[in-house]
Amino acid sequence: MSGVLVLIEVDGDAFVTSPDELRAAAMSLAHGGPIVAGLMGPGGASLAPSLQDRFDRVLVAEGDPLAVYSAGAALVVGSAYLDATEADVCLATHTAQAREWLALLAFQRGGGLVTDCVALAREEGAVVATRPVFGGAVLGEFVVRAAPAFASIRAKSFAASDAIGDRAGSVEGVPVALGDARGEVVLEEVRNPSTDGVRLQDARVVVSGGRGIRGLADWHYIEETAAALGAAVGCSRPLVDAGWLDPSFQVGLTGVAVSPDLYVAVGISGASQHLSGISGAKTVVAVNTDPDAPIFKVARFGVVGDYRQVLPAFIARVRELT
Amino acid sequence: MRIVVLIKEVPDPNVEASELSVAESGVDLIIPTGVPSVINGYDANAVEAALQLRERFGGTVSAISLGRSSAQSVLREALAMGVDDVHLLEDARPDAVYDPVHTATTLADAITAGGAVDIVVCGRQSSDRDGGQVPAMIAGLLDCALVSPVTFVEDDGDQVVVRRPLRDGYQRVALTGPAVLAVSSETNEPRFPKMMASAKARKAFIAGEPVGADVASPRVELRRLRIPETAGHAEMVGGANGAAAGSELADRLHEMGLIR
Repeated sequence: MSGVLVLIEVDGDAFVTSPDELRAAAMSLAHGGPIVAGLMGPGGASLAPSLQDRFDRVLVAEGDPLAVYSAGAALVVGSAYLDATEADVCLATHTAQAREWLALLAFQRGGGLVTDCVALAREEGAVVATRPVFGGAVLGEFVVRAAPAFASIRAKSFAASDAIGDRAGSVEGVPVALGDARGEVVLEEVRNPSTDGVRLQDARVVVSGGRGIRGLADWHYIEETAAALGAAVGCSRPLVDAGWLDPSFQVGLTGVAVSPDLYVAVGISGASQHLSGISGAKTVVAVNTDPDAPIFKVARFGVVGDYRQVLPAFIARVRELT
Repeated sequence: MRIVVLIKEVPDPNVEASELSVAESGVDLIIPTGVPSVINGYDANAVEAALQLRERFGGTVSAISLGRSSAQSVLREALAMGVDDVHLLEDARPDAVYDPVHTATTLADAITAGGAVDIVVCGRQSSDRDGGQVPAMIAGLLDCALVSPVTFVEDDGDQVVVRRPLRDGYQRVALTGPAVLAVSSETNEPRFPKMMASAKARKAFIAGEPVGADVASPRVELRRLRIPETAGHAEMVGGANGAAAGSELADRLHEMGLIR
């Protein structure tokens, strides 16, 4: 067996996870073997042709079995894709959904799984995966001993390679037989209409607030700063735990990984958990009242001060400059 | 309803990253003395979710912990919060052995040894390993539904309904059979134990059951831990007051072409 199967999440006519990042991760493991793409999600058939120049085969489940997501259905689809390939490595991007189905799939296949990887290599045939542990304060290097090797990659951790467009893959339908629903019924899907702006994970500029923000009544400071910079809004975990913001705004190890050109952290102390999510940011700016806050160790520029004084003047000057 | 909650003892995750170091073995983390071991944060949410389910549907909540004998303390915490019984599985594996399948198998055996289970509740991941695989593997072993992470458990109706986050929203998922629920921190606010209950839990006898002698052929091996170097320190932008610093910061970012 050889080759890599990458499972790409799609939603209708859009990619949810990046085919190019997954392809880049797969390139280092394939050793010349085929790289096969499998589409996971509702719809997606219309996207398959766009992958033909980058993958040796593009697999699309017949009958749209993931029109409504469930972990059990995704397991069946992933399993059908594996059956259709000779792959000894299977990759996906670490998302809330892949947390479920990739682990189920690895378990069912008797393989070894490493989740949320920031680096992958192959040594004497074995996949070696590096991932953050201990809230991101430590990196662990794991060797996958059981085949197939499964890994989920952290978004933005693998740079899409330039050398794309050299393949001529076929698009293939894969029949999928969904069994009985595995003990769950989806009653309803609630989508946030508020995500009509720039997606947090794709934003060029992100402004985030943390525990240092004194109350929800002060959140406008963050929103106005974001508006002035044309930025997406994010936050650290305590604000989600406190119920101020939806989990989709959370930046960090258990939230969204971002890689903007500019990341403005306001009232964020810089716990490892949060820093894990911004390791891809090019320039970090921190505003915090505590001069010893760990965020200043990773920031390019820092201001020690009260955001209620700093940000209005910052916004006013940004407006003058732009 | 038979509810089982899985809890893990972890080093306090609030320890400063700069205080951590890696032991000579390369695979063990040295936790500074004085850093307490605590219940994994998400697992406290799991205990709370389990107790709330019992309050609605009746039945029992059993807590199981796989760990060292010191994990007694997190089981006592669960007792103090209100679980009915606790089970300590004393792990004989070295710390560095990292095999979620082994962990899941050991836990699943303990779960089923107590009879048929309706709901297994656990945290979405542990704050030390952060792998998040064990819930799915237990669901695989029990051949039941999995929701991981759960971000909310609805508190009315005659069936268990939970929220599963989607990229841009969430699903409301009704459970129609046994399930593993891996809860996240936003699900609830864990209750504080009452003083009387804490005192009683402190005196409870907890017998450890040895497990984990068989560590043959792990699917995944931890080879090395390392602590990433932090880059350095920010260039501080000051001024006569906060407003002056804010204005200066805008100028600096503009010079770098980051504001346009």
